[in-house]
Amino acid sequence: MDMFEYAEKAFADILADCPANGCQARGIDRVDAGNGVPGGWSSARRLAEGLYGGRAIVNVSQQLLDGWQTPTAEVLCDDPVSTAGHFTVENGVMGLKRSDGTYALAYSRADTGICGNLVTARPASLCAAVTDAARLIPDAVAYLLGNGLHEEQIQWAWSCAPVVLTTFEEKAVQAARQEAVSAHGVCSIWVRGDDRGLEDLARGYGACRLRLHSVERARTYGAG
Amino acid sequence: MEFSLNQRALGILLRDVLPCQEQLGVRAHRLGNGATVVDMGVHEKGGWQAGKLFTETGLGGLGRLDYTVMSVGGHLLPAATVTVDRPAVAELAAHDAIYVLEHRGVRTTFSGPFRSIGGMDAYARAVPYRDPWGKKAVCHIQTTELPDEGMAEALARAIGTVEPEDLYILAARTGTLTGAVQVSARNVEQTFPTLLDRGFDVNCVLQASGSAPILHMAEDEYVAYGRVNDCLIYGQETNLWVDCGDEEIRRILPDLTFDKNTDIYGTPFEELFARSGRNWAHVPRDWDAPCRINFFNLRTGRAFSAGHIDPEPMVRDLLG
Repeated sequence: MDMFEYAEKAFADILADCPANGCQARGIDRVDAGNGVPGGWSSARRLAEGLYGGRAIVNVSQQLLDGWQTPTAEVLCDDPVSTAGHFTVENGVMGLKRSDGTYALAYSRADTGICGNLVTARPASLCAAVTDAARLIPDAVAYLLGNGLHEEQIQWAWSCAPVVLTTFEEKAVQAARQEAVSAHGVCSIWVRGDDRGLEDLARGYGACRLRLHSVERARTYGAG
Repeated sequence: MEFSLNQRALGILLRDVLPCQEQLGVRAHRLGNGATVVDMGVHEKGGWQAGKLFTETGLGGLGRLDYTVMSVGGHLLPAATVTVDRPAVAELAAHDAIYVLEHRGVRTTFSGPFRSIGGMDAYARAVPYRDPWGKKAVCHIQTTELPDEGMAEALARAIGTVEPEDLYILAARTGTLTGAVQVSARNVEQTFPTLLDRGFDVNCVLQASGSAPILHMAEDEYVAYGRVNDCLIYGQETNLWVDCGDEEIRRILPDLTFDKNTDIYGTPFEELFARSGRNWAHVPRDWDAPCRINFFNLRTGRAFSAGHIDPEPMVRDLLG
């Protein structure tokens, strides 16, 4: 199953489970997962799996953070480079876009009229909270590629980040999310090749703790 | 027992591995004699999903690997958590890396459900289960070279009930993510031979689970070997739910866990392995011991524990 087929299957699973999953089907290619409805864990997790095109395992569990059992999303990604682009927002939409411009699976806050399968949810929803917690890897990959690492250097990735839903107020929830990810989010990326500058790269990343594991030097940069 | 560990493992292979090779980063090869070798991390990249499936086939379909999180010295790390049904059968008759095949003067260790066909070694024979199917066999090997026709033929001969074309051999190096995952998943696995060696009736173990952190840190096979085994001897914790007398547990408890080796405790396994000539046959049996074991005796309601997790060696491994 290629990534597009996997993403289509993820959308079909979410659609088929409406309304039991707290989502609302709107036709055959639209699901409201957090605008007029609350959405829920199963659809949020399946959306994240779909956005990774089957190249990652997405778990939702809980970790003891600051004395609270806090929900976290953990992502174990086998192909960080190929999947990073699925999380790039283009005209308010992210997802797996085919060469003909249609989406196998897309995600946005509102229906922007794209062709293909679309899941919508506002920022102050569980769906958005899980998706944000699950996107540490693509964000870190974009940072690394933008700062001189080559695609072939990046091998695998793992991340763990709190799922933050504190209020219906959009700006406040986004600020709380940013703060929680900065304090507790961890993203590990396994790299090969030249390891010069990796410590600076890891430490220069501000969104969360970024650890770079050099499999040739058997060292971790950014962990100390 | 009517179920077949090899049939269950083959079901996972046919459903989740062979049709998904690109997705998993693995590649299946058909050898000249018909044996199927699945490269899950020798020349292929492998990864998280491949490591999970390597483990679950190795357990004969009786166990599940879930990725969880462990805090090791303040560092959040991915961990392999294994839950297993019929633990004595799954571990001793399948998962344990015990069976040694001598081929062209080289001794190679295999694990996997093929060991349950007829009871291929002493540990497999320690449980009454024998695979009733015996038509196809699933084998696992931690190796830097893919098995060839000769090895497949020798293995089929040793099993006795199968031809080479009935063999499925899954292979991965230690210095890959697949390799690191499948070793960290040997948490419950490492416990069972230790129990057996001390005369504990393993059939008293009703349920089992275990966790160990995953530190894939090195492509170099010997460095990787050290790091992944540190995860077991310093970071693994296994839970056993048993039905026996408390005295049976108390008898073996002081001698079970790796911290009994007070003379070498805290030494990285890479160094211990070097002291043993980098040869498992020369590694003292007591050095291949679980880190921490918890017993929950359902007969008496009492809990017992031995060993402790020591983050320091693993943090050193993490930082490099």
